Amino acid sequence: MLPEFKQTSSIVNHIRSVMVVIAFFILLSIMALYLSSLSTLQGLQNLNTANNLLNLNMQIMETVNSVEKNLDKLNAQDDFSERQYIYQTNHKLITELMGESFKQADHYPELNGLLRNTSDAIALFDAQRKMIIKKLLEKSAAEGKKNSGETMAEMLIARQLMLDSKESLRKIQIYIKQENDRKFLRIYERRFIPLKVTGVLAVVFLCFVTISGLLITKRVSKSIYNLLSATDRVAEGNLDYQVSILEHDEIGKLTSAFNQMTFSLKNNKDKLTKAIDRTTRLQAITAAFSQALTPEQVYDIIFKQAFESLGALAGAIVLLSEDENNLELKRLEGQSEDVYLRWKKIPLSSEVPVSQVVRFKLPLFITAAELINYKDVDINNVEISFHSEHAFAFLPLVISSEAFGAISFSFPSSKIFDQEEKDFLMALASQCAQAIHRSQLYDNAKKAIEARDEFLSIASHELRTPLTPLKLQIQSISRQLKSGTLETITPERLQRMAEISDNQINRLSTLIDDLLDVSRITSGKFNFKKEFFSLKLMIQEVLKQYSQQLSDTHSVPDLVVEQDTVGYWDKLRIEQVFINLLTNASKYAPNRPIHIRVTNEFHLAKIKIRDEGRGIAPEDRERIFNRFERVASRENVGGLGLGLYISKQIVEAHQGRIYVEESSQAGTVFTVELPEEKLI
Amino acid sequence: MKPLIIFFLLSFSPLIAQDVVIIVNEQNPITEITRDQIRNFFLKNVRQWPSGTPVRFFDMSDTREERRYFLRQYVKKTPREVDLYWIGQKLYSGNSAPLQISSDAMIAGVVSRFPGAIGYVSSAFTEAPGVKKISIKKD
Repeated sequence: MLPEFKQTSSIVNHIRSVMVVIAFFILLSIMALYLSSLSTLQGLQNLNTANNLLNLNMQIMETVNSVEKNLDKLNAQDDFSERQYIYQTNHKLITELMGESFKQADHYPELNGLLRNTSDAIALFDAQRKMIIKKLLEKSAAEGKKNSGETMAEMLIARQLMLDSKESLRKIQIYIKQENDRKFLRIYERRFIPLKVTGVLAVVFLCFVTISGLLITKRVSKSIYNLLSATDRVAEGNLDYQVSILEHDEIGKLTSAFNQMTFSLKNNKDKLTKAIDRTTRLQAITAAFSQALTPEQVYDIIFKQAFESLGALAGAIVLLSEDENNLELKRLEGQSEDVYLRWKKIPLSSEVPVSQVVRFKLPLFITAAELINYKDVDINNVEISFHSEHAFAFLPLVISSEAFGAISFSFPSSKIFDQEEKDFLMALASQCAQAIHRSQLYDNAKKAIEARDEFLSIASHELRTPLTPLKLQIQSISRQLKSGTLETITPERLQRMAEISDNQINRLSTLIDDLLDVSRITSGKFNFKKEFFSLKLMIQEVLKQYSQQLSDTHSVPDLVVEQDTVGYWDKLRIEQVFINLLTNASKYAPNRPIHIRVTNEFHLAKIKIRDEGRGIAPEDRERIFNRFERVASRENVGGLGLGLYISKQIVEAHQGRIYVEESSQAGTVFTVELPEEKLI
Repeated sequence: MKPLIIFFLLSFSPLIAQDVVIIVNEQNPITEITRDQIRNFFLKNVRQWPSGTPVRFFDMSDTREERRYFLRQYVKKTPREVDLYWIGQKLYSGNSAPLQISSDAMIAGVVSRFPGAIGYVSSAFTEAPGVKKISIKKD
């Protein structure tokens, strides 16, 4: 699974974050500049306030002076009402100015005390003033216009109070001036602070941008260099190297894709190596097969290869039997005797895997876990559940789309069949099929050649056998002719010589007829002249005809006709079959009776010929109908061994059957079955 | 012109000098005072009594001989120096010169009206209501 990659490149991301930091930085800078100049601004504002306060102070001072002047004039004036009015107006003005001053003096907590002193003094003065005027009024009412000492003292007190207030006001003025000087000095001293802050910020900013730029470049180039070094390694052929992913961005994606590429490259390389390996093995097997001639040699090679290159534990080869109903175990490797007995012969119709494989011509790969779904057979060919702890491969042996057998291999239970393994096994099976087929052909050809060689020696011997007595007779006559003693030969003897010669010539012609028949059969020029005739009559004729020969071997024919059949067959050929069986019986069981039974069962004419000879072993009962096959060894009994073969061909051409019957009695029973053919 | 003449007269007639008596408001608990205290009170270097009451010094008008004597004796300055001092004080600290009163009776009257008042009168001055004489504490 690929790790998740962001769409934006890490470069963009880094630059973005740097931009955010820069924006934040600028904001901070503005704030820092504002804060650094804030004290200056506040100082300027304070200066302004101080200015206002000074103005107010001057006004108050002026008003107080005017009050003082008014007080001086108080002595001379008779009418107080105007003075009083001026006082009140001035006092009102002073009160307002004082209030304003209090408001303005918020920034100068130190001034509040002085202002309060001033206002106290002014209040006291006002009270004093009122009292003075009151006293003056009283005095003027009582004593005329004379100022007493007491009034003078009151006046002095008022003056003192006035002095107090003026003092306070002056103190305020001085304080404000000093404060202003201090403030101005401070502002002046700090005039370079914003500049300094700006400078420091600029330097920091430059450093940050430079360092972050360097870092980003380094980081980005790092992942690119990482990828580059990886490509170098891959170029050198190191496919195992996987690049580490440094950043989950486009370059990371590229790196990951590169890793995948090298991985698949490596996989492909491995696959290629494997394929080459398998091809080499198959070639080796093919080469080995070309050396193998017989099936046994082929089997040896198959198992050797399978065990060596596939890691198989056991294997078996089964081939279809001749009747194509059973599978016969030809070879078993790595298994116990018990299995051999169980698998020796398996019906093709059974549900065991090997039968299925041959029936469907498809391979079957069974892992150890899947095995319980399949059937096995026990020793009596009864299907039982498959019980094993192995994995199996069953492969059909197919030649020209016909399955003629199967190979099975068993593997350790951990075996898992991947496609390559299956392909290889199937290729192996195909090779095996061809090799086995070839070896069979070779075997057959070899057998045929052997049979022909044997036939040739038999035939030459057989053909020669009658010639010797014939030559003997002719030599005897020619010797008599030379010596002129031909007349000495008695007629009986001449008769005898003629008979012998005739017999030998008959024998020769019979042999030649047989050979002709075989050649006709093999070339497919076997013609029949069919006619209606009675089996019973035919047999009686033959018995009469061969009575001389039968009496020679002391064979007594015993004919029982239960039911005669008149069939539409080739009379001469059926006669030939009967004669063959009869002469065989007399030949192989001389001095014994020959039992002949003619029956008809369900429109099937049957001729059974039983001798009382040694009988034929069950395994030979099929074989004797083949060409050049004889039951007895060549030395004991003469003949080409073609009679039964020809008979079988004749009977089968009539859609009939010839076979050796199972018999409880001694001897051999040959049965000929001929379907009662209807006239079309 | 007038103070100059007075100064001239005074500087050439030191023997005419008259002794003075320090008076305070009768509510004031102190009974004696040092010369330094007097000097500081006069020059407004100290504005409060030890009890916390604000000090109000009442001067004699400079036409009187006792003032010169007082200034020489207690403040240790000539009247001219005192004038210059007050000009400077007006500019730098805002303090103004004490109120000058001509007659002893008037001084006593004013002193009796303020609790923290202090003044000086001629030694001839006998008694007045609301005022008390205090002695000079020897250093």
